[in-house]
Amino acid sequence: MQQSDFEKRVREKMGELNFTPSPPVWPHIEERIRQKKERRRVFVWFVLLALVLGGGVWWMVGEKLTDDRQPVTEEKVEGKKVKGYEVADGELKDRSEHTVVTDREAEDKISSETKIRIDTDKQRITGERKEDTRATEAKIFAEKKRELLGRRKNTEDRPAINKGKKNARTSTERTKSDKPAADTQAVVMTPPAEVPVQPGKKEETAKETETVMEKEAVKEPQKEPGEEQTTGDTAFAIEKSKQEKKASKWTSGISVTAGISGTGSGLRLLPMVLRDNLYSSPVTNPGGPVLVPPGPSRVRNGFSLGVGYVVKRNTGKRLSYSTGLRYNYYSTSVAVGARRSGSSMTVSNGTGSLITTDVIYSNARSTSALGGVQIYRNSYHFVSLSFDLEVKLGKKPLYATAGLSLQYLAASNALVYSPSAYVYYRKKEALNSFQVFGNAGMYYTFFQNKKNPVQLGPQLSYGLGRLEKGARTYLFAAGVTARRALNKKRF
Amino acid sequence: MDQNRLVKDCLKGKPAAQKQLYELFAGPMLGVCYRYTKSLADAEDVLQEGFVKVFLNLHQFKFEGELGGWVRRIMVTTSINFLKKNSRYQTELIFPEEPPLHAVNNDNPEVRMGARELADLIRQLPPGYQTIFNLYAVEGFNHIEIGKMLGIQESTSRSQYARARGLLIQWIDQQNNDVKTSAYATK
Repeated sequence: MQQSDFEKRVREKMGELNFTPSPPVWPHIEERIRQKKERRRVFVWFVLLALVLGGGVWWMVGEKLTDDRQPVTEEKVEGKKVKGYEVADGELKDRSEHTVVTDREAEDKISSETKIRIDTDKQRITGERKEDTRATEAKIFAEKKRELLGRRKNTEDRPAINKGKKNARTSTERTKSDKPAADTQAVVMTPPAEVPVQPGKKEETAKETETVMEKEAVKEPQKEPGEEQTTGDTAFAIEKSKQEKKASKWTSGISVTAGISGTGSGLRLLPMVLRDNLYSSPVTNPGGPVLVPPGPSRVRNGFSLGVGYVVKRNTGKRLSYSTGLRYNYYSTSVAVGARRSGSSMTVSNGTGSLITTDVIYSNARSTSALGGVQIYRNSYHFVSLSFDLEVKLGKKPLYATAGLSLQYLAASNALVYSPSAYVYYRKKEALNSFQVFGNAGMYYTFFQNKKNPVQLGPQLSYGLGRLEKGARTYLFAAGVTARRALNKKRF
Repeated sequence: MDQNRLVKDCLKGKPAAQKQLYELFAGPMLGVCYRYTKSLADAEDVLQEGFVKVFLNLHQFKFEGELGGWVRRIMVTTSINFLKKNSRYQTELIFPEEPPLHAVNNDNPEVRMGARELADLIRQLPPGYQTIFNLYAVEGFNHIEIGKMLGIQESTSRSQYARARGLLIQWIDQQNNDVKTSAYATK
């Protein structure tokens, strides 16, 4: 139906229709717009924070699961209570549910057959293992035995089983110390299929890692300087804007962080089977239990502390960035056996280079650890330079922050596990001196209108580079940070 | 006044620009909402809802047409949604079989009344007729578009519009005759 003149006349008349809305309409519209925008902003930041914290929890939980899958070994420990381990019925057990069986007869039988006495670090394990895993591990260990057997024939000394004597040297150690340096590397049992160790590969640098946090924020409309805020053209708003103008853009203060720290294994790029192979290679014993060399003990979380000086600059109403110099202390703990005093060894640090050290601790899961299992605290002292972006969320004094920090390992007494020698050793060269950490957190300002406002909130830091050379170990820390501005200013 | 500049300032969140945009279109848009509703209070509710949508979705305005037309389209959509959600309004377009209307003397009468009076006449129509008449005669949508917006067949839209038009013409005609009669009476 084509529109006739009637419709045109009606349309023209309706174009003249004009009303004046009642006064409360516009304030209601303004309020609803502000509420909707605030809800959107909080939702987006909530999602971002949940992703970051969820990622952090995922690393930690994943690390715990990895430890649970590692084989549990059993040693006879008479009446000793070891922190972090359970001693029950005279047996040292990890907290996982694996069952363990001791079989000394099987060990003697194997030793006599092969003419090789596996010295101090003999391990036996039974439990649930997949058949293909056993076969792979048996193959690797058989290769090692052949290699060792070849060396043994050329030596006069016959290595003996270490029956708990602290001063007894392992056959591996004796061979290494007697032989010239050129042969040492051959004796060190570096599994050919050892993954991810790749001789000659350089350590990861910060270039290989990506920033964890996204840095884009919800776009907040930027207001021109001096513009009135949401309160409109009132005297209060004018006075408020004057006060804000007077405030300096730079603020400095101190920050203190306390919490927990630990190590994670980073990205799960390795299949579980290959990861287990790094630390275990069974000896085949037809009809008997599987003998497995020891693996590392579980690394427990420790205490972390950070103190530093922070400088912050406001670039907008809600956006600011901060930088600071801090001292960070991280710690973890691990169960180890007795220290082997008077002995030194040369080990491969997994990157193709050798490290000589005289600080050696037995593996807690070895026979030499009998009566000498202890909890060793790994301490890491870092000096860090950080750069963070901060965004104010809503009208409340709540800030979200994310950034990076470059940390230098000034000192450490940390023990590093040698998967080839099955011992722990201490050498700072085995650790990466420079670390890049991703940081994320939130702050809330308390006592904002009082004399000494304080910012408080959770913080998470995760190492983006490897802590140990040649091993996928990443340091992390989670805790609470308190910040206070100096000179009666506000952050 | 540069409307593009106004839009950009509103996108930056400037309260003054937002208020200016509101004041520019509030009067005509309230008229649009008035035609679809049965009371001024309902029209203001629709106006509030519509302007909230305008400001929250202003980033979608592509500076290709008139800003007023874009705002008007949002108001019309908001009005229709209001009618659908509000139980006081009958959105069913199934009307009872009414006896045919009285034959009109003039299919194209003059509209001598004022805008407000004509709007009040349109608002006297049953809700379904009122909506379709507004959409076709005033907003300029075709029956296919109206069918999609209201979820009805094109043929239903055509027939309902014909009824609405007939009713309205009858009332207008009646009003015109009343005016003539009173004019003669005063002589």
